[in-house]
Amino acid sequence: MPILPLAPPQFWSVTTLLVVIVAAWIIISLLRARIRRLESAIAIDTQERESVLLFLHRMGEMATNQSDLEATLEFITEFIIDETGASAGAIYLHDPQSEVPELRARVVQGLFPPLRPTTGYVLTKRKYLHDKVKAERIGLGEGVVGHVAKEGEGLLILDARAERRLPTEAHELVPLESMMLMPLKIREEVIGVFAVVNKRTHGQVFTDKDMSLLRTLADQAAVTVKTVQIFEELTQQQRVESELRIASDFQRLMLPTQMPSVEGFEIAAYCKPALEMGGDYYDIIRIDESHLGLVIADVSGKGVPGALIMSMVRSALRAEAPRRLSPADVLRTINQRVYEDTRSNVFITMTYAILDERAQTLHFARAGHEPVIACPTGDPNPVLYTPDGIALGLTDGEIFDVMEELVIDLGETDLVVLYTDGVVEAMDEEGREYGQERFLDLLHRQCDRGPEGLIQDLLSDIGDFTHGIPQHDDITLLALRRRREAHVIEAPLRQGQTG
Amino acid sequence: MKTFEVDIRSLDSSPDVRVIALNGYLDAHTVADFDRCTDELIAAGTVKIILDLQGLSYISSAGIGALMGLSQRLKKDGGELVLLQPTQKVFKILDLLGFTRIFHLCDSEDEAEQILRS
Repeated sequence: MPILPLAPPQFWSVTTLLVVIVAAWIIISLLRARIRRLESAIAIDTQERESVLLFLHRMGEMATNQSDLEATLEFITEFIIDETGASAGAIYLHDPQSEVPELRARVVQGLFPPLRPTTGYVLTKRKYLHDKVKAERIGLGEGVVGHVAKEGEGLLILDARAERRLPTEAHELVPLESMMLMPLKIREEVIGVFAVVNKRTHGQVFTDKDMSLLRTLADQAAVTVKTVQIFEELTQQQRVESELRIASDFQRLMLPTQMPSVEGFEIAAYCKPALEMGGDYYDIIRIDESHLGLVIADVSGKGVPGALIMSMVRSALRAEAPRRLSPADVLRTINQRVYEDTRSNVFITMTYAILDERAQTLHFARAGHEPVIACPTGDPNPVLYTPDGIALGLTDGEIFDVMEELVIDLGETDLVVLYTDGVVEAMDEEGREYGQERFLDLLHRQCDRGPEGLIQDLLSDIGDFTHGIPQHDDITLLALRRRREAHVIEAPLRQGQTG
Repeated sequence: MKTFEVDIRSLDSSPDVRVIALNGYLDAHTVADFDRCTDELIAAGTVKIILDLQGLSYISSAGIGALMGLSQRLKKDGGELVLLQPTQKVFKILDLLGFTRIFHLCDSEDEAEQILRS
């Protein structure tokens, strides 16, 4: 009798069925646990995102109300304490008056202990406690606050009683359980430290998730604090004159410092802020291992309010980009935010594109921005793409949501260029514009130049046209193409084409 | 030097409708003049405005912002803003920004009047 792969049903149904049921039960339980873990991760992620967006919304309100530094710091402290579930917190800033680098608490809320060893008798009454904390001068590297300021990294203290850098007196005044500290950093510059102590719910300690939320909020708070700080220092000086210069400094701070290296693609960008008007912005955001977000934008409001709006948009975009792979969806979400937060006469034009490195495609949507230009391989004429889409901040709901999304096949394209109106509206001494025609003509001749080469050529052509007279608007360019074999663009060939 | 001029009149057939003719450049420098003039009209009770753009040779983003602000203020008071005959250059800018989908654009004063009456 041949051996059957399975025993007859009546034989295995009793023994094997039991095994199968147990195995299935185990698998289902494991899957359930995994789903629960994923669900809770998503819930926390959403909570963090909501916190950040709410924070930006409130900051937007404050920016339009022309708040001073003290009010801004009070707001930030209260907000961060609330959102992290802490029972007290303080914001330490570098003391500009002091000769050596020293930090001082500018705002203290709740039962927050002094962090330096203290000899005198301190009343535990909250007001005196706050005065004591504010009077402390903390050197760089000294105690937990000084340590965080020096290292520029956040610190999570799970058991404050075992932390040697905390003075013993601190525990006598405030029973300390756990603590989080985060530097307020703009790029690599630490401008201060934010500290929170003890979870409001007794017996709980701060978690990595709380740290992540604190880090995100502290990043945004740092930009806001620095803006208000600089602006405040100017109140006695010539505010108006300097305002535009500060805004343009900020604009520079918000631009990426270096191009990410993307295998298989060449990307180049350029931004020249004009003193008078500046409001351009570009960014490159890593979404996941095979998608890269490219954004170019122009904020209509200039000066410090414009810079703050730009910073809001940048944060909102960086929060949304990793969550969606549809450029139109991202722009719709950003618009909702911007529309609620800006005054009626401020708007932003933006093109948001997503590079799919595997599929070699560029999906993009346009919110009232200049067209996207592509040079198709083997066709001398550049193509202008102007998909439907209204500028951000002008309207919301259905009218805005009608937004078209287009896709360019980068495998059949020599070059893609995103730009702002400052390029085509560059003027010569008689007020004539550089114009789209001359721009397209240059692209037509130079489409074989890589992104970097093209940007150089274009800038020098604009320079020739304007005879170097200062421009009124920013000039921003972002170009990309699929990486080619080195031999395709030999130098002699390039020179032959330009000459 | 880039100039900007504003000319205001009432429509004979509908005296509550004001026609503001814009001439020259509406940009960051001249937008204050435009705002001052529209502020005065609104303070005097005007809610229906036709902006005659035939003579407007350039509009910057600051100018567009001013149009947006004006439109929203009029709507809040139950009124409306209608744009009349923008030049090709100005139309291109408005169209690029998506303004042609938000604003009423008209080819004639009669058409503009019809919209403001309805």
